[in-house]
Parts: sequence; structure tokens; C-alpha cells
Amino acid sequence: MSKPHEPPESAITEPLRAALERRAAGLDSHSLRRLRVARGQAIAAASARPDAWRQASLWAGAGSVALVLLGAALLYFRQANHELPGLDADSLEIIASEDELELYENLDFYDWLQHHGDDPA
Amino acid sequence: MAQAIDQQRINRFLAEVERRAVVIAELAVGQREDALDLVQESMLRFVKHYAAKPETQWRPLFHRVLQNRIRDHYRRQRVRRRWLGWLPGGGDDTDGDPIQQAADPVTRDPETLAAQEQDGGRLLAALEKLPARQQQAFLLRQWEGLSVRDTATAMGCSEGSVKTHLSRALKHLRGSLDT
Repeated sequence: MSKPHEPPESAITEPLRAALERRAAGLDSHSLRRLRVARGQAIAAASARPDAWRQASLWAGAGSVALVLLGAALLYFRQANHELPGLDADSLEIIASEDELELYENLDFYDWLQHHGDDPA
Repeated sequence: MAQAIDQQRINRFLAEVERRAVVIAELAVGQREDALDLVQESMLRFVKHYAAKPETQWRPLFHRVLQNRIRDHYRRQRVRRRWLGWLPGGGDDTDGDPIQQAADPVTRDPETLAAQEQDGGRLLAALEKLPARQQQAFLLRQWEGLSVRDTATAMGCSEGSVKTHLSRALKHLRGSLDT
């Protein structure tokens, strides 16, 4: 395709390729060291990636499970509190007090007394 | 399930392309340190996203990542220039004559060698001045040896665009030999 007075394509590409090869072959030690480090980092990152992903997935999964459990527990205890109307502070104190045990042992008697105490019998 | 990553193969592949990648990036952005940063980012992204792909696709995919990094670099430079107009652009090359960087290991007669080095030096200087897309199309196709299709994949454009860029690049480079 080149005109008669034009140099052939190879007259351009061959010396240029040679010059480029010389330039690539003549890279200084600093550049070569940087390339070696870059290569190592790229490969290390690639091999570390699946483990990192696996760990991240595990932590994400564990976090989700913990959140669900926490939510379920909160819901359960909230409902449980509503279903225990007698468990106020006074009731707990009465139940926990050892001094009043005798009172509870005689509750049946006091109940009977409340209903029949005023009877003249 | 993701395919296991063969570290040795990837290491070999990256070692094979890294020097050329630095030169390609350096010609694009004009600074060695910036070029090394771009290649480093490209390696990380390539391994992260494409290492599980078939090995035959690695080269065009790596260059696609590198080209994207180069484009991002241009964008950042443009934004920087817009906000800090008093800063000089990042396109100036301070590396000096690339011919002086290394001795040619190929054994040829001194006259041919000298002529070729002279032409190579002039062409390399002309290549550095080419518009970015022409320069990268030439490097990927003619130096890196990608097919037109793979070059288009790497550059994120059509095969027709690649051919146009190449044709214009060759025209410019021919012109540099005439002067």
C-alpha cells in the first residue's frame, strides 16, 4: 500500500521494535524491584481473597443469627412480663421473705377465718 | 464455583508482560514513577478480576486493564489541571534519549547497528509525540503483537478504529524518518 517513495512498513516497525526492546531491557534496578513487589502483592491479594471472603461471610452470618436471637428473646421476655401480673415488687418481697413462711403455711386458715370468722358457731 | 487461581502461571505471565507494560505506560504518561504505579494497579486489578479466565485471554485483558488505568490517569490529570491551572501538565518527558539507556545485545555489524539505533531513536521520539490513541494502538499491535481484535478489546474501541489509529500512526512515523 505504500507509495514508491515511502519507506516500507518494516523500515519503521523493525527499528522501533528494537528501540522499544532496548528500553524495556534497560529498566533500572529500582523499577525492577518495584515490579517484583507489585507482582508479589497482586498474587498475595488474589490468594488471600477467598479466605477473607469466607471469614467476612462467616462473621456476617453469625451477626445475623445473633440479631435474630436477640430480637426473639426481647419479644419473648416482653410478652412474658405482660402475662405475669402478680410479679410486682411487693409480691416478690413477700415471696422471698423467709420470715413470712409461717403466714403462707397458714393461708388456708386465714382464708377460712375471713369467711367464717364472724360466724357465731 | 470459581476456578482455582494458578499462582505460578500468573506470576510467569506478569513477569513476561511487566517490562513492556512499564514502557507502554511510560510512553503514555511521560513519567517512570507514574508508569510503575499504573502497572502495579493493573496487576492487582487483573489478578482480582481476570485471573480465573482462560490463559489465552490474559494478554488482551491485562492490556485492557492497563489502558483503563492510563485513561484514568489522563482524566485525573485533566481535573488537576482544571483546578490548578498554574501546575505544568504531566505529559513532558524527562527521561532523555532512550538509546543511551542500554547496550544492544544483538550482534550485528556496527554500521547497521548505528543506523538502526539512529532510526530507532528518531522513531521512538516520534512515537512519544503521537496522539495517545495512535501511540497505544501502534504499541499494542506492532510491539505487543496483539491481533486487531485483541487491540480493539484492550483499547475499548472498534476494530475499524484500531486500523484507523494504526494507519495514522504509521503515517506520522514515516514522516519522522523523512525529516
